[in-house]
Amino acid sequence: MRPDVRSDTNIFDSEDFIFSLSNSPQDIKLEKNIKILNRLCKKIDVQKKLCRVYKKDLSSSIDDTPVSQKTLVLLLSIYLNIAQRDKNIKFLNTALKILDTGDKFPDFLHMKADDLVEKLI
Amino acid sequence: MKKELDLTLLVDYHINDSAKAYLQMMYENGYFPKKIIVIGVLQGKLVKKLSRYIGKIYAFKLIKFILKFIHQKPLKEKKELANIITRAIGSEIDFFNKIKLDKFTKDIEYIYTQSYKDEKFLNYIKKQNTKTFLYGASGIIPKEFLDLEGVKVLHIHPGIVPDVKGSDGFFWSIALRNRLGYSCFYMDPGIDTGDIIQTQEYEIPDIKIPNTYNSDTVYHAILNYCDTVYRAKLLINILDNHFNSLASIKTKKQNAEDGDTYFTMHKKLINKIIKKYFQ
Repeated sequence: MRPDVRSDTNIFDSEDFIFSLSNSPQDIKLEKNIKILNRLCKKIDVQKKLCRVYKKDLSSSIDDTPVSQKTLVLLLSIYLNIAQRDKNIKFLNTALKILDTGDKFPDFLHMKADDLVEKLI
Repeated sequence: MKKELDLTLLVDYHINDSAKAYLQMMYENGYFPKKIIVIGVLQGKLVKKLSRYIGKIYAFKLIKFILKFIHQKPLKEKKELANIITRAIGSEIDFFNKIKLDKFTKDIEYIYTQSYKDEKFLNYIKKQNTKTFLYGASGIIPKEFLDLEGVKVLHIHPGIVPDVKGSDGFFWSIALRNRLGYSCFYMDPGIDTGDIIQTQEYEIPDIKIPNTYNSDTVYHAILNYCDTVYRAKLLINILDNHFNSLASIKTKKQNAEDGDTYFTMHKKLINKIIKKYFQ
């Protein structure tokens, strides 16, 4: 059974975090959110999967269920926007890895990523 | 003048390009490690199955021989690339002829182990007279090894720490700082978080590789024949300054939270870097 994530403050809910960031783009600039996005890079780059629920300190997953495709698309957009705004090549690298996950992503996001590779290197 | 170092070099059974660069540049500069330990890690199901019939050591040697044979195929291409790269960076290191370890030290030992965590292996390390090691093998050194009393392991990482920690440091340094960066530190169990001995940045060398080679081959060639030479350059710099006190060099502590850790670089970024800087 999935844990009741909304009532548990000792966990990190990836979907909640990504949805709330995408609904309030001004929060993307906040340092604490950039730090979390940076921690999530490791999940995608190393573990090759972003799970829905982690321990609050993001040290390990609580539930192995991966985030939804919709969440991945939102996260991809966030990484690409920050990569463009801050010339952040690490986030671009993670975005490219998300695009490699085999799921379908809108063509314009592929194009944006390729365009940033040309511009940032 | 010949200078014997209070240092043991750890190398793989199949001596990698990094160890070849360290050894040859030390030799050119008159430095000789006190000892070389050649480690054969007996891993994999095939080695285990074969070892039932012909014994562990022969199983290990047979697999290594087969792998070497498989990897022979693109040798001509590798040699061409090594030639282009070493000439461009002014290096004379020979990466292809069989390296004779007794040229570098009289004290050479071979040890076979299932893993670096193996108790017998750790006991063997514990008994060494020289406990300062230079790591010229592959794989991760576990905490159990690093925690052994008196053990210090020198490592050279291709990135300025703490800013550029993690994988593909050579390419991340170019992407982020437009230079090559190297750091020497005593290893600790974290990822590139050990106490810093010295850091050094270099201009990106002017290497022009024809675009007839595929990018994957070029990627490996740059790491094998360029990155290894720059690592060895920093090593020599450190030996020049500290050759008689390698276990107790004054270091700078890292705060694990500082800087950033980078992961394997995506092929699209690597290809763009190769195209922009090396073709």
